[in-house]
Amino acid sequence: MKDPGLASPNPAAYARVLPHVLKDLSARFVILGNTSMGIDLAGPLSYSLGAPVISGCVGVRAEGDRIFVTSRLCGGKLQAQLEPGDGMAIALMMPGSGHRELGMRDVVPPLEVRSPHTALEPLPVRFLELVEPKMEDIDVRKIPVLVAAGRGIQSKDNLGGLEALAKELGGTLCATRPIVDQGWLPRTRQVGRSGMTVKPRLYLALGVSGAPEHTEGMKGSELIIAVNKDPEAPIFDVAHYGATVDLLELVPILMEKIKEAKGSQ
Amino acid sequence: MIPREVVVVAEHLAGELSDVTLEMLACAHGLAFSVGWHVTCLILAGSSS
Repeated sequence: MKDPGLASPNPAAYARVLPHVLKDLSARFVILGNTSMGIDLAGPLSYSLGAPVISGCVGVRAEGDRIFVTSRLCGGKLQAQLEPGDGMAIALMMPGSGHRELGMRDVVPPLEVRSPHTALEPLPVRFLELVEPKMEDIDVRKIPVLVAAGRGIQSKDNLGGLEALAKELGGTLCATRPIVDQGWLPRTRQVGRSGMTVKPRLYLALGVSGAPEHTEGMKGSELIIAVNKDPEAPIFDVAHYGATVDLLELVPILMEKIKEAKGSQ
Repeated sequence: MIPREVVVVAEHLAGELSDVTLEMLACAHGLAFSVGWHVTCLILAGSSS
């Protein structure tokens, strides 16, 4: 869909165009991001099309003509299986709940360019400018190796050892919300629902319990290694490898081993 | 006849699709493949590029 009025992200413009297109396409199942854009769009679309909205969607499957959606409730502590009716339904997909690589195709699909059925002026909201957030610290989303500090580090004094480990691994330090709330690290280092969503090559979770609010922001990492004394800690549900040892004992040994390995190269 | 079209509304900035769009497409492909439906990705933009 092409129009100068759609050149900038504007939910008001999108909400004016989409109902017509979705009706033209006879859409059965519409997927939006569970993002600020998707959330802004879902309400007006639902109203215009009479379609139910399922938010917090983390999975979809079909059996025959029936669709079943898995949705997160209560901040991720519960999941619900939902079945929309026979008509059109709108799902808001949680970022990080799918594999982006599976969304790519080697072949270019057929492309059809359309113009909107309706005029896009005047709009109740106008896009003025894009303001990039000021990054006064490292952008942890761009770091391939992250060492995450959780409450298990016990004291701010222990952050130094973790920071040194992160540096030795060629990465940087991030943290769970309780660590940031205590002021031990800046907010820019917070990973999780109320912080950053990261997908590094290595995520080393040290003393991280694995609350849903945190794992939502890191479970897409390529390799997750968790260290926690509690074998029942939910971080082990998302970790590829884990160790139930005292991280404060492990970190110095790990540092030594890494230095040895680097020295022998 | 019940419609069998899965539509993904893309999010993009500066000519690049966002990660969540690719994740939505992965979900749509998986759904459509399992039951033989069709996937359309809608990109709302100011130009064809």
